[in-house]
Amino acid sequence: MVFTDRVGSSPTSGTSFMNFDHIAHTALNALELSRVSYGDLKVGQYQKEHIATKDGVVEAMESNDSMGYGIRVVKDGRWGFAASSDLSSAGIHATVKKAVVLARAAATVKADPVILTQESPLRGTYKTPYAEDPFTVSMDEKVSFLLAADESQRRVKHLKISQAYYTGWKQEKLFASTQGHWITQTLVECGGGIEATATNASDVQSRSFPNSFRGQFVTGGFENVRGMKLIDNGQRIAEEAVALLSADECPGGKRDIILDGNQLALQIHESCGHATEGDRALGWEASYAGTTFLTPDKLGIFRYGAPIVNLTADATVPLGLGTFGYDDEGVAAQRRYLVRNGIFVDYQTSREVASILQKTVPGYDRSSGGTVRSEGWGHLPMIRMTNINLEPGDNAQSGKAWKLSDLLADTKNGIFFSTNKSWSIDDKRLNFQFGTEIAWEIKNGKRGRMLKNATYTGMTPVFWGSCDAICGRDHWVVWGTPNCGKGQPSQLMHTGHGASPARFRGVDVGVLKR
Amino acid sequence: MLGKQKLKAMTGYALKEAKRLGVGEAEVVIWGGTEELTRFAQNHIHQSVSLTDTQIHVRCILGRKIGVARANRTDPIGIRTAVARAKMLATLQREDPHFHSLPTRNTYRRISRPRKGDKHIGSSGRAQAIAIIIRNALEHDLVASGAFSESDSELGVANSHGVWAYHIGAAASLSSIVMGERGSGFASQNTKFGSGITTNEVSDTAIYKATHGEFVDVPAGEYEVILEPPAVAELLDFFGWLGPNARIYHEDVSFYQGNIGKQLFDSSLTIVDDPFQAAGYPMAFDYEGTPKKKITLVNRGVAQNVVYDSYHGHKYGKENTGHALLAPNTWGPIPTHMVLLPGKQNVSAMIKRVKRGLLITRFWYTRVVHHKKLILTGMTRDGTFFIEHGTIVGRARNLRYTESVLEALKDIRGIGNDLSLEGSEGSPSLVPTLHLGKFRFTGVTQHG
Repeated sequence: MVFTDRVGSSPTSGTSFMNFDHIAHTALNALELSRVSYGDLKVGQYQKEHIATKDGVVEAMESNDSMGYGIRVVKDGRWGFAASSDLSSAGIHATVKKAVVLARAAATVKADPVILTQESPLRGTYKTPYAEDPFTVSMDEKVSFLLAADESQRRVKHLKISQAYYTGWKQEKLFASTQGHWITQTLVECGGGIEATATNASDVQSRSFPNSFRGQFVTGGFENVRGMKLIDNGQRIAEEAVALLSADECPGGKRDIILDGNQLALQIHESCGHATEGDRALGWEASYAGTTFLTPDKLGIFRYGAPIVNLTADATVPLGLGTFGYDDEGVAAQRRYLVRNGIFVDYQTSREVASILQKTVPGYDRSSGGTVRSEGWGHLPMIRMTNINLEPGDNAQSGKAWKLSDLLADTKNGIFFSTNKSWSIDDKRLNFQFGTEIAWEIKNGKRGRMLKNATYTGMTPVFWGSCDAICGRDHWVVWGTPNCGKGQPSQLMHTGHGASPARFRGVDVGVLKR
Repeated sequence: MLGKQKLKAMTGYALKEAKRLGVGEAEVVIWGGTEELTRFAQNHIHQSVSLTDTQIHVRCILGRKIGVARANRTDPIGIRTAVARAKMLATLQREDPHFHSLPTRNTYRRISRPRKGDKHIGSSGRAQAIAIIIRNALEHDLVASGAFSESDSELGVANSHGVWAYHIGAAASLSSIVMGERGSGFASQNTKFGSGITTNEVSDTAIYKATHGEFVDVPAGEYEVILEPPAVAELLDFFGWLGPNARIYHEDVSFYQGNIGKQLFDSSLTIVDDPFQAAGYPMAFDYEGTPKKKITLVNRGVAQNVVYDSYHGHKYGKENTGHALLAPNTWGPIPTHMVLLPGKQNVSAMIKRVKRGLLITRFWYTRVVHHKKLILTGMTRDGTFFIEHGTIVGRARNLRYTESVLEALKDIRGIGNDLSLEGSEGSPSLVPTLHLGKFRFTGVTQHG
């Protein structure tokens, strides 16, 4: 019984890059026959496994395996992209043809031709370093681990819901282009977390560990999940969830605030990460996610934040969820400053965006920043955050590498916010409002009463301009965000954000109390 | 598109394989199709994409142990592999005491078919439509962006109790944002086929929104609001997720908890989940093959019903209302075809009745601040206008709202007669314009 003519490897037998080779050679031949001025393809196999427990019951245990390819062409000066899971020769030729038809249709509307920066056509391989392949750890062991983490929360009276999560991903992919790129990569990611929820007639309060939205995620092996101490923290977060029900509401007004690393990570993501995407700056995301206040005329001169604020795009940092060897247009992973000593100095770029910036921004001579990725094999590669990091406080560069205890002791009247609960920002990445699962009042250098429904709001450059202290590398963690949405059709991407706790002066807090 | 007979053969093959492996209960869902999208920005087409795929989803149940495998290899080897993997996961699972059974064989209501002349217009047709939008924008010194998508999809659901259901769908959507010195304007149309889109209507509305009115300073505060359909749909999405969702309702996380039968909203408000509306994206069954039916969620302001799938229906002793999503679903069953019943007022008459308020085209980046009060926060976007004494007197910079939807919907001053299809094929809603008595804005940004 044959439903489709496919030549791919068996999904469970491990990917054979030889099959990828066959697909790539077929596609490159088809691209040559189509006389495109540029063409590339990504063929990949994407595996995912996910387990979720709730109240001691395993409510999700699933695996997902997807294989296919996406082909990108420049024809008549415009882009076309087509993706398919039909791995037959006929299917590959048809997909190339479709990409060409799409490009030609795009070319009927007048535009400047696509130009890419000159880059060496790299050939290479990359594999995520790890000690323990998450896909070889037995599901039985993972389930037992999560059930123990779930159980650890339910020791607390009055807890309504206990949950635990694990997700692992593996992508094996080959990138090739008509310019001679030939790159294979195996990326392994995993993570997990726990979440305790308490309720009463008028309120719902949740606490998560190590982070909200199903936990902390890294590129790396299962040893990182074992090291998360989920079971050790179950009772504590459950107690906090219950205590939050009777905690005081976050007061309103202006306060000095300290953001915990896991909250600061999302602040970086929304107000710096998206704001420095080069495609947004050129208006290419206007139809969905919006544009950015960081317009090209501000490059190199705009004060984004205080002089101690240094933000980098770094796809090389160990464990970062945006760490890889090469991006999805064959550019090597790299580390670049986006904000240096408080000044906006660069965008996240692709080959095309860098080429446009070279032409339109005086003095801009940088090549692609290597930040192009796509979700799976079926979506168009576009600029996506890698690991967008707030560099830690450093005694040499930024005055001081604070310890969190010293920072709390140095704050007279403030609020310490931890673990994101709510996040919203406008379409130019200026006006934001965040809420956290938990907060504590700081009075005369001491952490005081617990606060619930804590929120803070501000305008991006004003907020980052108020940053006067950043904790040092001892506190620095690359937090994984596996749910970054962008593009049409919408794509979810995995990004990382290195952050240590930091202080911001005079911030509007407590929107519900105003 | 593989077609009904092929999908039936594939699901049948998978079920036979499950039986051969000794799996007591099994469910097979196969879906696939093609989506094409042409995207434009800065007055040119910059992205033109297509995706074709078919996926198989297998749920194997051994006693009360459940394993799920998903893959996109759908030849016999791929199907057998997916079944074996689902069975292996079920073997390693723990018993779920709340699982009862998959649904049994049923019959399905026939949903509306495409009308004569309905068709997709393809990449060249979409490019022609976009060229019109760009030309119109340039005539007004504006910069146009947007997206025009068309898709065909099919879905087959079968299980070992005899369920077999097949659905074929189509969707098309055109949206445009045009930007100029005065700000930006948005308009969109969602329907089933590209031939049904009226490009000039989308273009004219977006241009009007981008060019109408000079900026006036509108500080944060409480205002009457006219919410156009895209803004209403965004609030309704959160209502559906956090209100009549059986999972969170019974977990005591929903604002519906303890309020069924109570007057929660203004008596003019009625919300139904109606999967058969021809103007929407009709669907005769859910992802378990349970027939869908019309459910009243809010009747004249009174909270009425919660929606269930087979799992939550059994767990809580309620009737399965046909609201299953693809298993394993850890979000809960949610209404996916909501209709906020229209009123009799036209929008211009509604504006005339506003003393001091805002006309809002749409919201952006809405998130939950408080579950039980349904307090949401988000921004206005692409056309926010200030109204005084029944007249639009200028455009406002975008404002941040932080408001309890429960409170806001207690004071409805008017419901439009302009039912509009919003959202995607997966979660569409039909909504009119709403006039609300008060809505709280807590911040202002620098652009409009």
